[in-house]
Amino acid sequence: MQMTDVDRTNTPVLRLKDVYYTYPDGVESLRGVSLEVYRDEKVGLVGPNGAGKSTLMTVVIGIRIPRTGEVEVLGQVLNPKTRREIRRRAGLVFQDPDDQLFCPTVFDEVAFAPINMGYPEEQVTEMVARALKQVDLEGYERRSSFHLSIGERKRLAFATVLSYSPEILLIDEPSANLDPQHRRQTINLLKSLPQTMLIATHDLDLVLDVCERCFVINRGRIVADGDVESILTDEQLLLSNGLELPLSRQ
Amino acid sequence: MHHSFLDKYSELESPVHRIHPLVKLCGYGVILLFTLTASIYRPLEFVIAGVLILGVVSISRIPIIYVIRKTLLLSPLMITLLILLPFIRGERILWGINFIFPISITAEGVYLSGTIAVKSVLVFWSSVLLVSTTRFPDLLYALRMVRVPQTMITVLAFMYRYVFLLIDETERMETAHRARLVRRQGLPLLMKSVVYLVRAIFIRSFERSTRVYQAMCARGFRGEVCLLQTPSIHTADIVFLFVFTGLIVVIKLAI
Repeated sequence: MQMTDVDRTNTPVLRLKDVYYTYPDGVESLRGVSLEVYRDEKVGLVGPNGAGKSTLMTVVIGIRIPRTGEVEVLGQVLNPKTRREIRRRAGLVFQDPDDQLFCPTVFDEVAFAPINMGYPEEQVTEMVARALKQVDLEGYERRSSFHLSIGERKRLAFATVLSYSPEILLIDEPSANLDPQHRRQTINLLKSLPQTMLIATHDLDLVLDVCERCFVINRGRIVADGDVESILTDEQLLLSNGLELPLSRQ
Repeated sequence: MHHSFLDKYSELESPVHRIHPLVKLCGYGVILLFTLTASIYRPLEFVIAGVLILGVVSISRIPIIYVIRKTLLLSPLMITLLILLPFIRGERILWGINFIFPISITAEGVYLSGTIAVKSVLVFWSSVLLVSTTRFPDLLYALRMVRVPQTMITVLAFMYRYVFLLIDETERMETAHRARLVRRQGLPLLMKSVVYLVRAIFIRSFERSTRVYQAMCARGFRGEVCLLQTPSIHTADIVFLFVFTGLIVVIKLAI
């Protein structure tokens, strides 16, 4: 594994140790993944299709249970007892907003998590207003989510997670299917959010723009970990793992 | 997505749109009861119900032609009923023939088919009116207030949310299928393609429902959809409901 200098003096907020995950059809998606993410870091997770990026994201919040290995989020080891608390403190934004947006209105959508987490009504209303303001969707409360454009749906998907202010954001393909303008809006949003982030993406230019550090994952294994500049300018490393230099570095 | 939504006109501004969804649902129940208890032997009841519904449609600024056009959706069922029902058994035979076995059109059958046809149209118009003047989430809220089981409301909400995506995916697959079609298919091949299409839709729907469930779990879902309460009913809404119900009762008793 290629390693570069990263400040590892603090306790990591996210730690995976030798995690294996196999799908019911026998496909081994994660094969001994170990990684650490530190507070306030914005970290990219890059790799080709089928590398295990999305699986890793769902494993972190206990949607998929690893066959072996240990997942630790904000000091809590993931297990059925801690899963709920971990989901409250770490939010996952899915790749396809249509998977994430299922409520009749934008308000219900953003309020879904706070209500399920047991916040009182007045606080839920405040949380919804704040989250919608963060993603620039104020005034959309009464609208149906599927009447929105893809860019608006993406931002709404962020709001559904931001509403309960998780300390860690896990974001799966934030720029997928977006036109250049909406992609830029998403990048600006990611840069403006203060949370610790793990961003799974193919969009290496986005990683260069937003993240300080990145992991390269291929065939279920972390093959490189280091600062974005050194990883994303290593053409040999990228080519051997189904990637290529970011457009801005070509 | 370019589908016409079920509640296409629900965002219009009109006195009917402003009525509380629960009151609209109750009013819908009253007009249903009036229509379903009406008899073909007292046709004035049907005329009054029709005039009342179309009157409210025009107040709500929904084009009457839209409501009438929607009625065409009923035509396959109506045609079947109109063809088959006159042949049911009855006392008064209007016309008969002996062909292998006796076939006859009875007065009771004709009345029954007429009654069902008219009632179906009126109930359908009322339903279109309700859905077109009430936003779907508000309708779900009203259903919840009248104690419709939560599971049913959740299913309705999911149906409303995902039916368009399902149509979209079907259209995309159909386009892809047509794009690869070099010549006209025979019936066996066409049937085979349809089976593949249905199978693909089923698998995609299953996969999507899994992902949606995962997204729900990630946001704290534990098996029950919890929603915040919406504002309470105003006095004007209650007055309207009483006046409307009273009017219907008076009409019913007067005829």
